[in-house]
Amino acid sequence: MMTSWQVVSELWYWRSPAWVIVLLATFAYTLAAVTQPVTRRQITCFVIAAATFLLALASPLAVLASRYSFSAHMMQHLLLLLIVPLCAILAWPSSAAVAGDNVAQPPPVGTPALGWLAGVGAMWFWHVPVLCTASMQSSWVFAMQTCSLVAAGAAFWWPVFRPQLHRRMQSHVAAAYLFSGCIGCSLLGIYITFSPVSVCPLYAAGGGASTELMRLVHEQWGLTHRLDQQVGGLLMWVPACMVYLGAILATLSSWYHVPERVGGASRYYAAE
Amino acid sequence: MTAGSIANSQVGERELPAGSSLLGWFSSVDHKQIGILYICTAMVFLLIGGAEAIAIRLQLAVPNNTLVGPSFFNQLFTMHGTTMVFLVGMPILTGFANYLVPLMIGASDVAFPRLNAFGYWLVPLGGIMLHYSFLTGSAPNAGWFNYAPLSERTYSSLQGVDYWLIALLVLGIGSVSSAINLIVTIILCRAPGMSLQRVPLFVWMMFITSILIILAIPALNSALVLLLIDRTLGSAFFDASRGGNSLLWQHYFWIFGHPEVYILALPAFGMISEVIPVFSRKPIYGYEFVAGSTVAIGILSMGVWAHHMFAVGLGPAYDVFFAIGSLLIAIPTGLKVFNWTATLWGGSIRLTTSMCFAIAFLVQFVIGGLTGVMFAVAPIDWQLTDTYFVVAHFHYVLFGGTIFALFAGGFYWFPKMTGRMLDERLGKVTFWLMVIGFNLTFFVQHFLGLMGMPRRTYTYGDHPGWFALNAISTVGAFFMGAGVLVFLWNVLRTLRSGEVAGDNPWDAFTLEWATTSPPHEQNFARVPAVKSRRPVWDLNHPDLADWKTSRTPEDRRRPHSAARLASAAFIVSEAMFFLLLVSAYVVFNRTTGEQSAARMLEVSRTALFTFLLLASSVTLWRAEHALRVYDQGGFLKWLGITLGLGAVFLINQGAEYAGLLHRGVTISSNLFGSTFFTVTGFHGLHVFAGLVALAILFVLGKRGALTGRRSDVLGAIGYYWHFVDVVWIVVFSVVYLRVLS
Repeated sequence: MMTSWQVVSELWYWRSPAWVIVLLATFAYTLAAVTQPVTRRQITCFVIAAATFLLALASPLAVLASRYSFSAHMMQHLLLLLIVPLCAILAWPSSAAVAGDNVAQPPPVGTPALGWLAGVGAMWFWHVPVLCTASMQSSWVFAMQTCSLVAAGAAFWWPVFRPQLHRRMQSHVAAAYLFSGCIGCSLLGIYITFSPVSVCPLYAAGGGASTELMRLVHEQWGLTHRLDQQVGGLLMWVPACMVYLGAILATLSSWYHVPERVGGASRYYAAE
Repeated sequence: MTAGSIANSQVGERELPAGSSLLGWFSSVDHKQIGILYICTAMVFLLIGGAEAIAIRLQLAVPNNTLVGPSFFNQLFTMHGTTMVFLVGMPILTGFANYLVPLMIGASDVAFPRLNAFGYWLVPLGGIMLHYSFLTGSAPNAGWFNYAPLSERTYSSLQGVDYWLIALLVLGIGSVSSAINLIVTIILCRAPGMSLQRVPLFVWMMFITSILIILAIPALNSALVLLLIDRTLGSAFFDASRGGNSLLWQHYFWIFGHPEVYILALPAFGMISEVIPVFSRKPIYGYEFVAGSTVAIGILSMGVWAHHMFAVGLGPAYDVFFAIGSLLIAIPTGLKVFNWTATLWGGSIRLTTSMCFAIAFLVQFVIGGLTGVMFAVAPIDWQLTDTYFVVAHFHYVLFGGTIFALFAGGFYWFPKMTGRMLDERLGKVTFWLMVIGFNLTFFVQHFLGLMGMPRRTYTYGDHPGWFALNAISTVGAFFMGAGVLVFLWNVLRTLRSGEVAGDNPWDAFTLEWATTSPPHEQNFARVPAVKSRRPVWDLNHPDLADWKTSRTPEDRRRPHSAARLASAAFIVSEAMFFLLLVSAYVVFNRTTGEQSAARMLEVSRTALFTFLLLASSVTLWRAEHALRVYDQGGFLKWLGITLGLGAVFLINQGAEYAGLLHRGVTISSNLFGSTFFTVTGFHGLHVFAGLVALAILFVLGKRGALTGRRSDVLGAIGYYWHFVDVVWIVVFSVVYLRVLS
């Protein structure tokens, strides 16, 4: 039988298109970093975004998510929806942002209402049992799912963390936006956790190609189908909310932050 | 202790607020009088709840005691818990908030003074209703969390539980109304310059507490109505023998119950955050962190309720996630403790009675917090649940924490409320009696719990060590009783002949100290300029003013319609209520039996009437528009159509009900019937309430009393009407289209 170590060391999707995408993105980002100033924090964010993208789509997690474990599949969704787009937005070079500021956007793009609906809606949409099954059976549906999750995540985070500071949502509005988003995802998580209905019945059917891996997950890890779905629901409910909570605290910290006046504090003191 | 205090303006005779006659108190809408009414009412119930506690301790003083029987003992601990949480803790904190929040933000009153009075008067009503149950022969006896199926009619056939349910509904409605009032007041009524980033921490904590109240209390209310329907109309939501689910009660109760802990703790944190800086002569250390961690606590507290249910066997996945979630709360809470300690550090500390209570709070709350962290670890919870260790834990949080903070706040703000200083010598006597008594009573209960003494059992055998520890505990309770009596004596004596306080006896920092003690009816003759978090410090110490050294965000534009804001807050609370009702529908309509029953519904006919109800949102929107542009005729026309559409919807619902009843589907026939009538019935009630409100506006509009100038009133009710339509979309999708089945 397979061991857990073999899963971690051997089950990588070396032929996943995710590698190409990350390679191209790294190339583009390096170009941007050479021509425009980027901060160390922005580079870190880019590295996290790229690594998370690979973790979600090319690592053993992706293999597990493909047929073997619903909770791995949920983890994959959370990474694609919450972490990858957030870090990608935070990695955006500031000067490119200023240039992009003047580019006109069609009205609904980048608005909070659309962002909220996309972010929360994508999660609900892809967990309708029929669609969940379809994404596992057809690579085209899977590709669409992946793209739509990243895009929906980007639409969700954009109004809160867009690079143009002055056009971000006001902090207290952002807190309410994030909190309601957290509730929207929690409700789905709670539903999945407690529902006796199988959200993705294919995982129960045990359709994975490798029976060895199947046995490892079910028997050695003890992830029965029921428990697997519970863990998936709880991932959506508790850790996902922690991401929203972290974002709320970040917006609060900028809410308490006082922008420096020209000339610094001493001038302020004198002026008063 | 007053040696170092500065009485910085005229020390006059105590000025009686206008209308201080007895009738004046009954009819008052002044936030200060209502605040004092809340506090006094809570004190009365504190004496009742305290007497119950003494009776419990007397019964447990010796092994195999027969002072009270098992059934009366059950009533005692149930009433003690219920009274302390709903009739002491919540009203007294609301009372302080009522009194202080408008003063602290420089307002002349709360946003809705009459709603405020309404909220208060529900407290004595609920309290009397709860205690009236003693006259029916049996007070509630199923514990303060009233677990089903024990609380079902099968096992609690007397009326005590019914009184409990109705009283808590009444109290819950009062709490939600006062929370909405506080939210609107804090957002809209702040003095110029008082940005939300500058409000005193007590105000900020009350703000977060109020948000928690409007989210958490509706969860309790939905559980209460479901159980009430079980008990009075014969449904079986929580009766497993008829297909119901008694675990659901636990979920619903703790969805409310865990935030409730923070509803009782956050205002206490706020009081401590005011008292410690003033008596350390320093601004609070890390204001932003104390405020931000409150938000984190509020959000986390909504998602960890199942840690109260480790013992029911939810399964390993739940236990792990809820254990982690619960442990995380220790981070923001610990952060607060560090901030308070750091405020003390290097301060020039004045050990007034108030400060002594605040320091005792810190120590005792940390102990209660640490045992809380222990309980977050599921296996420890399995071992210790339902023992006296739990009793010790939550009394360290709620008594050693909240009540001690209330004493700190009480001694601190008493001069402001009455114009006279409480006697410090008697205060210290109270303090030592309480500290010694509290720790004697509850510290030993940790050991009793570890030894396995079960809570809620009327007596115990003579096991080694149990008698001694229980006797110590009972002696401690008498110390606390004495402490309360000394405090009351101190209050009465001070009111008669206490030292006159002056405006600002503690040289304190926040706006409530910038007016007379007690404040006159309008609160302030002139609100001082607010440029920092400590406006009164800035005023009294211009050379050392805060705004010269540290800057805080300026005041910004704020919304202007109190009616719309209140409506929005109300909708949030209603949404929570419906969310839980609809969840109950989803939970109970998964089996094939219920689903085939649901197929009896006529989907296409209801779809037509759904369309009519949604159309009424459009017509109401037209009416709002017409009113805004002063088109009175158009306004009345569109409002009339809205009323008609709503009425048609209700008539259809009535016809549908008649058809179902005719075919033998009733609220008690099966779970489909129970959930269907509950969900659609409550929605129908809301439509009806909306129609009544709109009809009133229609009549006002006809008489010309409602014009474009007051269009926000229609706007506020419009929010509500649109919300009711959205709820119907959800109900229609779940019940008729069965999207979640």
